[in-house]
Amino acid sequence: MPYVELRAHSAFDFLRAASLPEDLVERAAALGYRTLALADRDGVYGAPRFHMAARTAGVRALVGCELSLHLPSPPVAPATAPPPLPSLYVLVQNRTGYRNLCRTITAAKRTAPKGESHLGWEQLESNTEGLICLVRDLLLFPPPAESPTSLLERLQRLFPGRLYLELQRHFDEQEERANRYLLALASAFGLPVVATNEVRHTTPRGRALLDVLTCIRHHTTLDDAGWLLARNAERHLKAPGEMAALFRDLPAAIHNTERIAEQCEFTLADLGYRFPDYPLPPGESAMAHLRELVYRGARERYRTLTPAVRRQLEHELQVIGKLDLAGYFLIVWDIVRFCREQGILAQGRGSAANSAVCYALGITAVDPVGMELLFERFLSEERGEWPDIDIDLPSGEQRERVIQYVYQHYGPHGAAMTANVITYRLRSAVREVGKVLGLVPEQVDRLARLLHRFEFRDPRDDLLPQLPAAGLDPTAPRVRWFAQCVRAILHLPRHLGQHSGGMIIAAGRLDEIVPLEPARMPGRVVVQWDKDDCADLGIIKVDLLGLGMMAVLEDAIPLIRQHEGVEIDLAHLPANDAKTYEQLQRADTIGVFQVESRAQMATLPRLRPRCFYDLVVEVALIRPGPIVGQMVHPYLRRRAGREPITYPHPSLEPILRRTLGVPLFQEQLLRIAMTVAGFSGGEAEELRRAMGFKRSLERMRAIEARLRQGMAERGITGDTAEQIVRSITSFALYGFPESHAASFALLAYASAYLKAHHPAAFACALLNHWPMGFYHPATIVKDAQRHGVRVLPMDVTRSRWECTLERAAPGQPLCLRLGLRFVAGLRSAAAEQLVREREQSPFRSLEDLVRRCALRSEELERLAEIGAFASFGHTRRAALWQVTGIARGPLFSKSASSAEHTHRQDRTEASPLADMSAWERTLADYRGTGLTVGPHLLAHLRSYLDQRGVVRAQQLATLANGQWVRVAGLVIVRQRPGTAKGFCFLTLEDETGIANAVLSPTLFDRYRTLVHTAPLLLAEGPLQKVDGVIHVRAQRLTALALPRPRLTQRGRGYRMRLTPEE
Amino acid sequence: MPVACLYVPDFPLAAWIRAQPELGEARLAIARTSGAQAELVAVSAAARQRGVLPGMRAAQAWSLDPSLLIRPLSPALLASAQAALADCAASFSPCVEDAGDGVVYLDLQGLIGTLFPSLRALVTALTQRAARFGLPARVGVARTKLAARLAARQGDGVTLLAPHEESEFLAALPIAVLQPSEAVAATLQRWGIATLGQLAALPAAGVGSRLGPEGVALWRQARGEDPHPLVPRPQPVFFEEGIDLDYGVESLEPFAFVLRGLLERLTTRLAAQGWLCSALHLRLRLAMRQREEHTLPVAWPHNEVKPLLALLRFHLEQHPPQAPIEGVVLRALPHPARPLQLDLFRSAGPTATTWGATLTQVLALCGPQRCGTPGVLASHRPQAHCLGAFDPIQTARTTAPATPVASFPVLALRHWRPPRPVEVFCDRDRPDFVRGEGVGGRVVSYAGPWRLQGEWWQADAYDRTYYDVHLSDGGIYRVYREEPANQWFVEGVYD
Repeated sequence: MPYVELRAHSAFDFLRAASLPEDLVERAAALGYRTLALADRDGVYGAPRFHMAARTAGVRALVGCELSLHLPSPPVAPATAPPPLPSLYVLVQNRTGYRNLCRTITAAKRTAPKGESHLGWEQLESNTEGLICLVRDLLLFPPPAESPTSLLERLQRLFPGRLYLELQRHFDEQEERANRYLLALASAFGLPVVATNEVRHTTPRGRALLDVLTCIRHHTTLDDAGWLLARNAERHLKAPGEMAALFRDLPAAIHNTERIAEQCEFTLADLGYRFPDYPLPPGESAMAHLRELVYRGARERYRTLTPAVRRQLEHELQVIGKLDLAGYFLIVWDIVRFCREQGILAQGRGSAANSAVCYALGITAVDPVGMELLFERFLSEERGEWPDIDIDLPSGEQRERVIQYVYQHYGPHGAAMTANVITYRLRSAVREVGKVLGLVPEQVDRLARLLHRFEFRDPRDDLLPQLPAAGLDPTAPRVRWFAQCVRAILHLPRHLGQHSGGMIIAAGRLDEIVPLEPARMPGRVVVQWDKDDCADLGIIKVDLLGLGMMAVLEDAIPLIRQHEGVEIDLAHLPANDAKTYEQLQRADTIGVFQVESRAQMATLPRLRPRCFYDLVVEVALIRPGPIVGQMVHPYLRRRAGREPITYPHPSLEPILRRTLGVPLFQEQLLRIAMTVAGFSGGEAEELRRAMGFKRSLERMRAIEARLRQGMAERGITGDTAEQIVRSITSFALYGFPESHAASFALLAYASAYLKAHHPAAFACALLNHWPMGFYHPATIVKDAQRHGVRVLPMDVTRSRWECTLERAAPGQPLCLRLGLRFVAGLRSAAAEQLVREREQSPFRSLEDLVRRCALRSEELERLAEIGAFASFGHTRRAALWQVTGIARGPLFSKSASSAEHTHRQDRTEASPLADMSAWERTLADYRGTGLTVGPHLLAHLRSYLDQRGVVRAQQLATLANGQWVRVAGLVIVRQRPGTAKGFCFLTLEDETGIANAVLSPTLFDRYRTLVHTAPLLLAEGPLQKVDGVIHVRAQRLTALALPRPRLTQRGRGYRMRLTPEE
Repeated sequence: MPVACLYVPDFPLAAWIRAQPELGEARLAIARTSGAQAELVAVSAAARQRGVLPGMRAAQAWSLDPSLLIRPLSPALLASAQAALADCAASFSPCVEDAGDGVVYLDLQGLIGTLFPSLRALVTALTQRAARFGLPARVGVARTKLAARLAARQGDGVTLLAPHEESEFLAALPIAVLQPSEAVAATLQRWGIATLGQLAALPAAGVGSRLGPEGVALWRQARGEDPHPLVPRPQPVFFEEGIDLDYGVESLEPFAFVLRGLLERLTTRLAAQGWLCSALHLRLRLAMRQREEHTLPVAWPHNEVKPLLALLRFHLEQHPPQAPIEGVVLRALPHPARPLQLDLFRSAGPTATTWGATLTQVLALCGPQRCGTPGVLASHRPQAHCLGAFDPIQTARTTAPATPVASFPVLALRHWRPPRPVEVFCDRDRPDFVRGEGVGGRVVSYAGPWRLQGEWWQADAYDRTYYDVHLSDGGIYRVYREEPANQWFVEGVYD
């Protein structure tokens, strides 16, 4: 007998079910189901993945949803299992039903706390058309003041002819009694019944994970969960025949499943999404308007429109016209226009930079004609896909303004952010599953800490090898279950977050396409799907991404204008500035966008960039693609003239000439395919995708055959053909688009230029936008000082919240004044009040400041300790003595700062305390601000280090290759990249600069704990100097203990904060 | 009034060595918790020689000395050692203050010249007895408790401070010896105040207005003033010794070894004050956070380790713990060595009993697992129940709210305890014939199957398939098949 499972819950039911939608579909197809309905609670979170998987498997995917009703819960009987929360299960019949479902969920989520849903009867009243309702638990456990009869009468009115009573059989005798009761009700009301299995896991084995998820949801352990757990493992996907046998006494219940499935014609293929229309001038078409804007922009950009430019623009406009995408480009242009009008820097990145139209519209900043970029990488007729335009914006407030503009422009129901599904990772899985299984918290904690924290993973980083190290016996049954459940829970969704910048917009109401939820951030609305789901369903996304460096540039320009009288135009920076390139060549790039990482710094002296294109190559070179494809060293050797430049085939020379015969960019791959195999632009892009991240063996084979055939037709066979195929297949996985590299290289050049010519303003802006980039403010400050910037300490009479620039007097050098934002524990509101008071009238004394500003005693002490009261003539200790005395007096409460004090003579009590030593001042700086403008921590230890033969970082350049050296410093970077075969890289900073140390995998294992924990390290080993790149190949590591107090590390990875322990 | 302070340096370390004397020579460190990131709080001299210091992380210490033994801080051991130290002092003076953390004070008034010929003889005897208790104590004697404590801490054995030496001695000491609060210590550190002398040199009013009452108290202490008199501890009502074990002990033999150590230390302490053991109370901390307690009355009070150990062994053989033992606390109830005078005209018998006393006897008779008020356990496991504390007052039972389904009539099942094993013959996986003791017949009709599977993470996971069968003998029974053993049982009969 045919049976359709109308109620399959997936892991997108968030801790209520244990299988991914894809697994459900796969199992359903194997069991012979032709239709299956997804039934997650209060949303359609898993529906796109379910739909896509079902389409591939040839299963029809119905949309269902369990709607939580915001009604009083039924009372709990003593010594029994708690009743389920009131809910209704609905299935979508048609597009109207889907629209109603989305609107209902959106309304229910709007006023509810995060993760909950407040759906009342009144919200259902006008939104039930097109929905079929299955009811069961609500009748068995009616809310107080309701009876099953009254509920059924209400539901019959809401779902006329579309109401079914749901019967379930999980081999539970209480359920059987419930079924008899429901049958009696169905008979009394003349309602049909229908069978479901309320699937929560695909196979019986999934029950264990379901129990674990239940415990996580209820914040309890398996030992204490009791009746919350499943009675048995029967909520798995059963074969249709098995279900028919279970209900052989009620054939109508089985028959009705098929009947309902037939009534449900809706699938997500019928979503009805439409991109909004751009408001056009009367009588003008979108295409004509776009053409006009493009040519207007092109004339500004290019000044003279060469035939090549005209040809490219016409080609692109023709493709855009054919694909009917003019509206999309106009809308993106509108967002960029808004940014320009508001003075917000905006720059398109990614493949959009391959488009001359985007360049002309001001969306991107790279000239694709000049750089010979391939448009088809961005858009092609063959693919028939929406283009993907990502716009980089200054992070923070500016980006938020743009997002709010889009919300306002398209209405609260017309635009929303895409979601980000947070899934279980190894560490979170270990912690949560360990807690649920009642393992000793210390052991679980230790295990979680032992698991990898670096990008690179070796077999020792896996769960099983680490169990004994954490004190867990891998053979103990409970530990075996633990390992099994951790593996099973990995990659299951945990909860929904918000994507960093992906926005979708729709014509009309977006809440009729997908349910919307309020985000935790005020003013933000999120859809229930992530960006891949949206892309799969043809919903257009515009990524408005926050980029810290853009914010830095945006802030640095007015600073330079104000303090140096120089106008910087980012679009017209001097093209080949020698000072900038010299700086890049010696890897003096702390704070420079994209090229400040340890790996980039190690490449710069070898690549020695001399022009903008070198920088494009530099940005693209240190990426997984070239590294995994082993392109880095051939390129650098060829560039240094140590290896001849060769090409796999003479026809590829024009394509690979610029990169010395080594493929570095995706566009090159596309062009190779077009040249050697005669692929069109769209086919070449199809090839890249087939070989890319979502590899499908079938697709790869088909397109590879076409590639070989194309090459054979052009006489390319044998080794040459193999070499080409090999390079394409290995590179496609991690390739980097040239256009994207060029966009980033622009920012890298701009930031390097500012660092070279305006180091004070650049450092100031960098510090004001921290956290960003690779380095801690302490490192940025020291780097600025090494570049001749005088960095002034925090001073309550001068400093603002942010860092600022100032001159002691006209003509004096420009100084960077540290802002109060780095004072640990100082509230921004308190600092702002201090600045306001100071601007109204300068503080006469420390006592005057205390009286006028509502600073807490610990804030005052902190400011005193770091020397921020020096302008009042107090040493740090004297200020401490003063503020502790003042702050504790009741006279100085805010209410008492009135007239009686206003004219009172300020009193100053002589301090009996001795002044701080230089060492104490440095420690006080680190403790209070995490940085110091005084001597580096290592400077105080130098005599001790000299005695032990430790050389300074700066000295390394003068020593011979292979010489055994010792270096010491603050560990400012710890890296173990996924592409470095287990090698670990440490960057140590001392008072003269930074030194790099490399640890082999064996040594990393030996010093694993030290690497993770020690803030100060001494590394020794032979010096390696190749092409100006200097490393210490560390053979021994020692933790460097400070005399007193000790330092501890706060924070993760390379970002660290130093605070003395005592 | 001279006050002596008995102080055990590196007290956590001493507590461990007292419990496991074989650790005395080892390179040993005590960490605040377990794990690589745990902070070391005490380090043995041998470990210090390898560069291991208190305050280091365990991982850091291991990098210096891979064979270093690290034991976690054990509250049970600390409590036992502290009590033993106080008992040691109490065996000299009736006026003893237990200050915790390896420190006790005792009033020496009246002891010199009567019981001991000189102060030095007294303190020498004191340190020797502490050593017999397994504690390497230092002694300081001064006018005040504070000075005595600091003298004991800073000295290397016995430090006797004459009144005129006290202020000079105190001035050189670091602030940390006064153990200021975190906030005050931080402020003093910011001020650069490192010694008691520096603190004492600050103006009193300035300190008071800045550091409040605590600052003033510290300032006074820095000047050698101690406002706190010696507060005698009350007479102990029981004596306890405990230990946290490195790993779960699963068999009796090694555990008896542990018990012997505890008993030896307990009886030494009892004997030092003239007490005998009249009852033992055993508290066990088991794996998986379980706990067990056992009370064993001793028939005739005595301090002999061997019979007491035999009593404990016998009891544990009868009532084996449910999981590996990870920690134990043994408590002895003291009884005066001199027996009570009996009534000449009445035979000795129990005193008037109360509910509580009767219950205690019943508990002793039946065991704690078999006496109490039954309750339903929140579990799907069939007939899962628990025994709570005995509750003679019947609390009003709440009735279940009426649900529509509950109104359906049900049959009452008469449970057979324990369920009876039967043979069940199946036809196409359905029960067809049942044969067993007191029950048998062809299956006329049946309901089911009902499946119960749970506690899969436990060793005693259950997996049962139930049927209600109407047999040809006229009865309706509940039968079930137990998996994976594939055994059938009759659970009961329907009335």
